[in-house]
Amino acid sequence: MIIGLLMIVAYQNPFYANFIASMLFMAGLAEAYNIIGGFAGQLSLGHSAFFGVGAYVSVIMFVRLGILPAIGCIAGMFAASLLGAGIGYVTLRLKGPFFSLATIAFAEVLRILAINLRSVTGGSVGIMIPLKTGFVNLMFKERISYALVAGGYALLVLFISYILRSSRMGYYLLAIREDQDAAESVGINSPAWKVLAAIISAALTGLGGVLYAYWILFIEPYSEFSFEVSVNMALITMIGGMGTVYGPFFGALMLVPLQEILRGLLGKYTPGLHMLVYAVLLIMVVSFLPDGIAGLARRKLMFGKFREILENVNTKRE
Amino acid sequence: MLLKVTNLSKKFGGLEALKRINLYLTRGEIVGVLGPNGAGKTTLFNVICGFYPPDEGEVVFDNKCITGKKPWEIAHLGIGRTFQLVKALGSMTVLENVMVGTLLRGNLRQARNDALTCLEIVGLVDRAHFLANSLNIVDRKRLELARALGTKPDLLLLDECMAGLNPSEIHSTLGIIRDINHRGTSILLIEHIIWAVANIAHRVVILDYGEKIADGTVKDVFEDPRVVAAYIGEGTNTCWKSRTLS
Repeated sequence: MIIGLLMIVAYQNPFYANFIASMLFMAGLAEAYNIIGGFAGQLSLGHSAFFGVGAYVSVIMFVRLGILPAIGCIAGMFAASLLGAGIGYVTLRLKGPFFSLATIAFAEVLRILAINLRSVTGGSVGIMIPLKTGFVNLMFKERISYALVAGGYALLVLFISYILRSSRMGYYLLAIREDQDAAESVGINSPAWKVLAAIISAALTGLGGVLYAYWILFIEPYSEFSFEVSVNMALITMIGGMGTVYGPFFGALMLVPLQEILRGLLGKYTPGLHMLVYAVLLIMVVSFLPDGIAGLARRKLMFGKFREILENVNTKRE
Repeated sequence: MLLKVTNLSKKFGGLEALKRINLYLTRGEIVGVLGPNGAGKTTLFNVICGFYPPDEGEVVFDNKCITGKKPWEIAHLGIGRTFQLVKALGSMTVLENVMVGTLLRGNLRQARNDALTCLEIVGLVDRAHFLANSLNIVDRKRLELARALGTKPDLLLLDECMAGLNPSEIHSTLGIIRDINHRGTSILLIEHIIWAVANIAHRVVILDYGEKIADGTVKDVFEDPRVVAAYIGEGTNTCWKSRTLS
């Protein structure tokens, strides 16, 4: 519903359309991040690795080999999920921060690779994507189409998150996050489920990377594998509500405009002032709303009349 | 014979936590594991459940060797356990906590119904939609029991599920354990409260410094001077027995 409303606004003018597309891409990416970072509680700080790999694989296939982006998109997702499986398999069997560290390292290594493999990736210069509009090329003439693509992407990831959360896997990932020993004692193969979560999250992040690349029409190592993108994904998820289905989505809907507004209002005074204010706001949100926006919403609901009704419905057996 | 432990040893550096332990448990039995703190009781549980690999020896469950298997494989084969320090999954509701266990044996719908049955057995059904971290310690211990029970185990290992409870709470927990046993689950339980164990266990095993020093009915075991020395202290007169076993 919200996406529908945004679409109507997006029709008004191309500036809004662009802005809404970037917001919805971020929403989708945060939702994808949430699967491994929120549900499974494995903090990744290098999700740009999956984002960049998806983009690079698909764009290289298109520009160098002439393979349709619609097919390259699947290849990009597959490459990202392979990478997710690789990192996950090696590090998710260990407890503690190894996964976070490994993801940062992988994103850095991939950036250095992308800079140095000049014949394939174009090095630091990057690759320009020639505009060939058409649905199978994932490229369009009107800006509004990209808002639609971003909206579709965000919806898809949201839908997958919802299905995941209410399935066996959702219960298992949450149990692993809360207490791995307890989870294993009731028969949950925690390394396998965590790796699976990493794969799904990586594939969806990779898909986001592909779609984003055909929107910007240009990829280069510093923005694709940037630490900032990784941190932004994690941050939006945390502010929105780690491990909740809708939290990251609303997190993006609030933070992306906030960044833009602050930049517009404060950008003219001192360079960097808007970042300072943004940081202070984030610190305040994290200290006063540790479960994010979704946590606040849930708390309000829990104390209302709504909760009683909910419980009465829920306790009845199916 | 449901569980047979042969020559089980486990060392932590220079500390021999378990020294060639032998024990068995037949189907339907309730066996208590007693011993002073640090005797190796919890280590024994952790080795049986696959949390630690043993240094030597063998664990056979239901005629299958389970030595060195992973904890989740062992849970699949039918051993459930509770933890001494309760591990409630805090941000999930009580019902969801138990469903994490019952999902092992069925789809979501069955798991939900089974979880409600388990909550009925332990008397937590009215708190099904509370968050687990809002429960007090008594209820958390019951929740821990319900979650383990949810995996429909043939053998349930209970690690001090009565520690910290008052006598009336212990009596109700004893009722729950007896009920679980009547439904066909064998039970191995670690407990310090001798009267509670005497009340429920068919047989007890006493550990001291990683060694098994006695095995038999509660009455026989406490006739053994080694047990009295290890557990109650030497030179104690026998009046404690009439008090604790009555």
